Amino acid sequence: MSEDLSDEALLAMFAKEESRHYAFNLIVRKHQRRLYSAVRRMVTDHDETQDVLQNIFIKAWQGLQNFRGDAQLFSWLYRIAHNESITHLNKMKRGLFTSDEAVTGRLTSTLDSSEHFSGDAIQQKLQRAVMRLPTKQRAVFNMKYFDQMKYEEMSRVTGTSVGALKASFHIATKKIEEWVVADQTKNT
Amino acid sequence: MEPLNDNEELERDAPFLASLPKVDPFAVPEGFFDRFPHQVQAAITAQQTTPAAAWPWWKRVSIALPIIALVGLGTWMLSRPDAQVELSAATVTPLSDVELDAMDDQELLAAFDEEEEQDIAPDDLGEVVIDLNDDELLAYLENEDTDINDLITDIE
Repeated sequence: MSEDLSDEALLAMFAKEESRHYAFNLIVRKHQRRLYSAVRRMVTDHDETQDVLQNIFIKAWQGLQNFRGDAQLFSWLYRIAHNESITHLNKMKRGLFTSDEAVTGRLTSTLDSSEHFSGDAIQQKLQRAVMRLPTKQRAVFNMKYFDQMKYEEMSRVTGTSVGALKASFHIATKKIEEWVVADQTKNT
Repeated sequence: MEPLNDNEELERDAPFLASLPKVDPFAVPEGFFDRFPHQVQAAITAQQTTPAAAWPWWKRVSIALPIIALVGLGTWMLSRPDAQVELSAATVTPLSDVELDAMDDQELLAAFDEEEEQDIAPDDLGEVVIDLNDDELLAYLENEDTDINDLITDIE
């Protein structure tokens, strides 16, 4: 039912105090899956994804009253998701007092569990390669490759120029291609 | 030559990657997306009912510190002895009877101003003026059960 209502209609309902909570419930139902996938690709663990996703929607609740509608609602939510994911990973790195390699190791440990990962072997190799990318470059790759976002929208989400995003994605694809192909060649 | 679109660029730069299906390989617990909106609602409601808890620690400290400082200052000030009493005590030191007896008339006169000295004669210090007639004096003596001869002896 929530998928039938446009974002404009939902925001109009949210603007009225008597229907605010109901409207926000519909907004959560409409956008939770896409945002969950985006966050999960960054933090990999389900429980941590749940925590980050909850923070995203709490901040959305607090900020939605000031949302001017100059951007698409999902882009606005995705921007919050992007920032919250980066913040979460930075906290993880500080908490562990370790390098990026140690954080990558923790993130890829989820891929080894069949309970949390339903992809085949090649998908596992692909995800391992993606985890090796620097955090912000990984976010750019995920937005472009998995979410099929346009560079202009990615620029609004990340606050980075379109040119820089294109360069970042180009480098990321080169690295992943090299790692995955090398991994495939090693096993054959 | 027209510029390549995003997919064509990917096929050119990473052909193996471009050939892979774009799937979401992460497993989601069953029923999660049914429960999650209620979880978010509960978290929002909890935040609204306890607004103080949402305050960052530095905000709470910045409000509490001045209050603690005021209470501490007030307690310290109340615990100190009264300054005016001390001042009064410092400026007025009553002399004992022994000290007063040791002072002669000249010393007492020196404690007054020059003008006041002129107003006070040495005889004034030893003279008691009693404005009573003889009958009144006798009535007083009878009331006090004092013999007039004894009174004369004491004066001398």
